Amino acid sequence: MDAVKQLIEKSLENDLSAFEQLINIYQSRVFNLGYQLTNSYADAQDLTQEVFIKAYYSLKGFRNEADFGTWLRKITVNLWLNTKRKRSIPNVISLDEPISAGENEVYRDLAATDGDPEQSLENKEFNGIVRKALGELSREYQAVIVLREIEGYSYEEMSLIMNCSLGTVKSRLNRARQVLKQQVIKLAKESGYVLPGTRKNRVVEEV
Amino acid sequence: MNCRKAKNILVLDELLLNEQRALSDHLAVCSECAVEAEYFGAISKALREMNSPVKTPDGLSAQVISRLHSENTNREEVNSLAPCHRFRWSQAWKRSLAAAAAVVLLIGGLMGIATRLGVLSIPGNPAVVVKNNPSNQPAVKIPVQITNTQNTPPTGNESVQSQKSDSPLNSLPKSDKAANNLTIQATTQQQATTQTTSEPKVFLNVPRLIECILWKIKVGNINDAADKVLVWAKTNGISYSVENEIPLDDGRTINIFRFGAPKTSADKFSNFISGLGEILEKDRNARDVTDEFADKLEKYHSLLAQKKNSDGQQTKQLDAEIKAVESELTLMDKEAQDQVVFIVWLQN
Repeated sequence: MDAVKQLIEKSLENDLSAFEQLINIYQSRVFNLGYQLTNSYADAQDLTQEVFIKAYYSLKGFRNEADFGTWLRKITVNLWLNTKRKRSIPNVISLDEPISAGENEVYRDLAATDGDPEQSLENKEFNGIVRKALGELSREYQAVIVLREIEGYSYEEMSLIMNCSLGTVKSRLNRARQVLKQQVIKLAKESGYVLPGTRKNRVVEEV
Repeated sequence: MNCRKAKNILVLDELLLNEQRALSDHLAVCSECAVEAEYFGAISKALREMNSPVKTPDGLSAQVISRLHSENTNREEVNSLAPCHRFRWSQAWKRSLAAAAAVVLLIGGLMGIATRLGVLSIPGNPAVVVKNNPSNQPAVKIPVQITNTQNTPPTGNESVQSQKSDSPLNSLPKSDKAANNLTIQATTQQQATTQTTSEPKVFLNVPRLIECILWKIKVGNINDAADKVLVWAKTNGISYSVENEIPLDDGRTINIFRFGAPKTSADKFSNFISGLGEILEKDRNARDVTDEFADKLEKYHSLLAQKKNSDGQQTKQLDAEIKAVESELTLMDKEAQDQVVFIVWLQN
């Protein structure tokens, strides 16, 4: 019996210290997924807490044949999908500003660019538009995009997490990508950002 | 490959080799599809760049464990309450509000007597300490502990039985009682010395629904928000019955208020509350209290009957219980008729 299984069994007997060890093993993964879904440090923190509380009370329903991490991700996505949308404006963060999280202030590690500052600035602007556009999609679409594109999960794992067939995962992902693209184009137009394709065309016209 | 086919598979991230070849051949000659492909590529790249690990906040596991500890305790408390006092809201509300809300609802009913007596202590229920705040000033905050008065075993079971057989009303099923709209006139021989009103009240058994709206709001400064909501309520004729302050383990505080707003002011009050801060939850529920009212009324009459055969200290105890039940009945009656109950939860 592996260590995680033992901890689960102990937690089932209301051993909270065993459950705390489980949290310590999985919290980073749950928190990071929560952060990508909520796009907010504080909301991710709340969501992660709820996930483990829910997990504790649902442990009986966990079947050991599934991976515990996948099971937790499933709870994470479900809880997030079922949380009512807040009325407040979505949390849009600047990609190079420190994320305000009190003492745990963190900097996003932006992928290294080619060193061209103009290119880097453009990347940031475009990434900001994509993040904003993503936040405006339906929660189902956001979830598939986050799981597949940002977190890089396989279709099989996504189907387990989202509790639907492979076909549904794929078709939902395709629709989500289409909607996201349209949203990105719309936001780019509104903010005056010149998208790659249109820029190329414009250069051709100028020549 | 035509444009339609190309656009269909552009969005896919797993292509067969021959599909891949056909697509790149098409993109080489079709600028429109090539631009489309560039969009998807750029968006995918941007999304991949968002995947950078974020540091998990310190103490997260400890917070979860401490919540589990306190929820286990609360769970036991809630389970000890009568079912009619439990909330049936969404899971999130249940988790966070269960114990607190049950307490609020319970003490809500006792506030009438608290107004008159200041502090109410029901013998046999040492944990019942209710204190109200007649000046509507939020400065005085009293943590409230309570146990369910309904769990108090009647001290005179024989007299309860005799009362039951004496009353034609009590032989009817609850639904019949409600349907018949019977008027109940109770009498008592002994008068309580501590109360300003001594005659038992007359209540009708009619169907009653109490509309409740729950707001859970995150505010910057709890005291400011509490002041604002209390002042607004006071100036708009909304009665405020209970304030309960709950300190959390992480140093934050939660304040829960219970208001009874006239139906005509309910929307205005909702608007005001929604402007107090970030709305974490909102829920609405209509509680059918017909049976609960009938049960309480029965209890009221049995207490009155017990009082007839009591004397001295026992009478005083019974008087306190009678008044508490009477206040609950009065409040329930009022709320069902023309009020909307607001439970306002403020947290920082």
